[in-house]
Amino acid sequence: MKKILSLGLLCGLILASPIRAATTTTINGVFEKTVHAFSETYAPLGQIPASELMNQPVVGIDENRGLLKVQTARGIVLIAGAAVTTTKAAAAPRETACSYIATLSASSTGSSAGFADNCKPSGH
Amino acid sequence: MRKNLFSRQSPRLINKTLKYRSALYVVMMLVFWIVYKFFDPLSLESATKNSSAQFFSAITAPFYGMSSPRSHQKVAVVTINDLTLKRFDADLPLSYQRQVFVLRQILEADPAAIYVDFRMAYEHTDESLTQFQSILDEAKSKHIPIFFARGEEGHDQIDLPAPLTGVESYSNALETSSAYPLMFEEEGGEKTEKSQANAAFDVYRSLCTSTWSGQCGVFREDDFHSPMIIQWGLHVDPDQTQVTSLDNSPRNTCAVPFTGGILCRSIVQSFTLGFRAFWGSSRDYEVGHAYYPLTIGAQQLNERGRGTPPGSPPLSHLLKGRAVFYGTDIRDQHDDTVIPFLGRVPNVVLHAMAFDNLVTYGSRYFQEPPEHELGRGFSFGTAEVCELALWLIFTGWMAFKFYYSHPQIPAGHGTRLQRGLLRKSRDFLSLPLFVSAIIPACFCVALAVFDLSHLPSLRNGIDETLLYVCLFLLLLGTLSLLRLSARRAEAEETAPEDDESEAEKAEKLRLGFWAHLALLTSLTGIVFALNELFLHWPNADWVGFILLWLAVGESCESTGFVLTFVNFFSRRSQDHTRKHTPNPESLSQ
Repeated sequence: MKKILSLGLLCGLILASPIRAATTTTINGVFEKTVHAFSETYAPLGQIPASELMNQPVVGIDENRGLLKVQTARGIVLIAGAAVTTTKAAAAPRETACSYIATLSASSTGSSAGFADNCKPSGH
Repeated sequence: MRKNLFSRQSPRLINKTLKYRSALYVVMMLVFWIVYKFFDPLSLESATKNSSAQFFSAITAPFYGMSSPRSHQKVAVVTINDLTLKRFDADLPLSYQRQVFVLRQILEADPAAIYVDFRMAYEHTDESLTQFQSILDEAKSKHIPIFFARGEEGHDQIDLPAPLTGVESYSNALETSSAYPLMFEEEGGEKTEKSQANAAFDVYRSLCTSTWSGQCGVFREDDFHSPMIIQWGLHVDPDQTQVTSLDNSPRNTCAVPFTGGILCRSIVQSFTLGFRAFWGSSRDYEVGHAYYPLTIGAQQLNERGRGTPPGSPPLSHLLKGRAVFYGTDIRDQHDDTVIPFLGRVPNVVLHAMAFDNLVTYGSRYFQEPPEHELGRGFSFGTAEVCELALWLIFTGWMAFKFYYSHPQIPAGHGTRLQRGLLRKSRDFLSLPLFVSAIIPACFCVALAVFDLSHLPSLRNGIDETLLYVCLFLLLLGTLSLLRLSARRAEAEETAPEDDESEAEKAEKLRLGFWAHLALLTSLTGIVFALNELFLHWPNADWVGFILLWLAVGESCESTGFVLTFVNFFSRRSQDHTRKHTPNPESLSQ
């Protein structure tokens, strides 16, 4: 009986591992040579080489800032989702964030630094 | 003093002096025009042009594209802006891999054409431009014209490296005359198979000779040689609200076309903005205008629109069927241009706007008047010739009045002609107002009928019609003021005063201040309407000319600029004549 259970467990493990491997999202492309990384407490870790991220598993998404959690040799790091491509099938598009795109003053006075800006929270 | 001087002289000498003064007046007026026009002292002419360009942008922008069903719908801009860089965790220049990724997103949306406003003249050290080959192949298989910016023409620009060599196009911004070049002359007379063109025209030409051949009408490349005076619109693409918020500035309260109350009507906006620009407060208005063409940040292409339900398609689907201009929208890249009344605008938006002008107007786009080469580097424009002709007619009339209005000039053909003209104009002005108003009414109705019959859509027809109603009211007001001036002059003539001076008599012949101002305003209105309908020349040139005329109106007074010179030279001459010619009174003694 024990042998049968062990065999069943072994078969189950063998069958489950490729399924798990197939469902685990990994990074398959990095657009720039380096990527800014942050710790799970948002402490900046500087830039890490793209090679350290390639084929590494994505273990989740940080809900607060929308960053990807990636398991690397130096532990879990947070990176910008748009800085990489992953093996995950494209999800349904999310709603775009509120932003402005507008002209600037001919002189620099009284205008923002760039043509595009995030919407300011109400009351500001 | 002058009266006494004249009374002591013989009629022959008076006649000679007046002829001399009239001729001097004509010469001085000509010199005044040449100095003002070509030497531009203290930037009087260019400063007038700049400020009047602000004014005309303010009054025409609310109308741009409102009656064209094709405007807005055929163009879009995809930008790399500050928010894009933040989201991409990248800085400029973007890696080729990133550029290819964005371009593939654009291509997948099936646009009509793509213009890439990034100059890739030299390869990155660690990447190869061959990465773009897949994009070129995909565009070719989908019959989508694609161009890559080569930089400004005329600065010994090198060709882009392979594989971009065959798809390069110039990316010139505005010239010093504020015109946008469409085509460039071949250097050394070498005719290539396809003439060199600027961004907007290269895209337009490629579409009109391929997939849009049925939409562009008869396309003849020779019709597009003159540089374009880009007309700007204040309204946004109706789809822009899916992409960005318009709440950043009160300037965008009326930005979405055909929404808002009566204060958002084109005619009301035109008047309010024009009023502000006229009094120089347009600078307050140049920040925060949303762009006329649909503009999407590259990071937004795979996101759904604002306020759309989950499952809606990504924003990239808005690019379908449009010519897409892809470039930077970042202030510090210095790839921007200052547009009168709107402020600083990225050059990728400038190219897109020029393209929208081509779609809206076709070969009847607003353009620099034709130039004629005289050789040895000299050339003159048709606008200058028209100005000079009008100026000479005006000067001739002033000199004619100046000569024949003198009381001691014997009644001859000239005096009869002057009196005849005066009598006819007074007869016309003495008619009942509703009778004399028939001529301006017919003029305005004819213009309105011509305009409305040539509009592709009557969506904005009421506002367009109201423009001509306003022009008619302006002409009617001027007519009323002229009637008042004529009545006053007639009343004063019936009770002449014997002891009034020559200057006082001349003053009676002049129009009142308000009539003079109204006449100039009416003239501006008429020229503006004719230019908008037929000539399509830069409006700012005309305003400069009208202001010049206003300055000359001032010169009718003895303290005026030109007449001061004439008096100065004339007195020197009279002194000289008195010294060398015996006085008739002394002769008789």
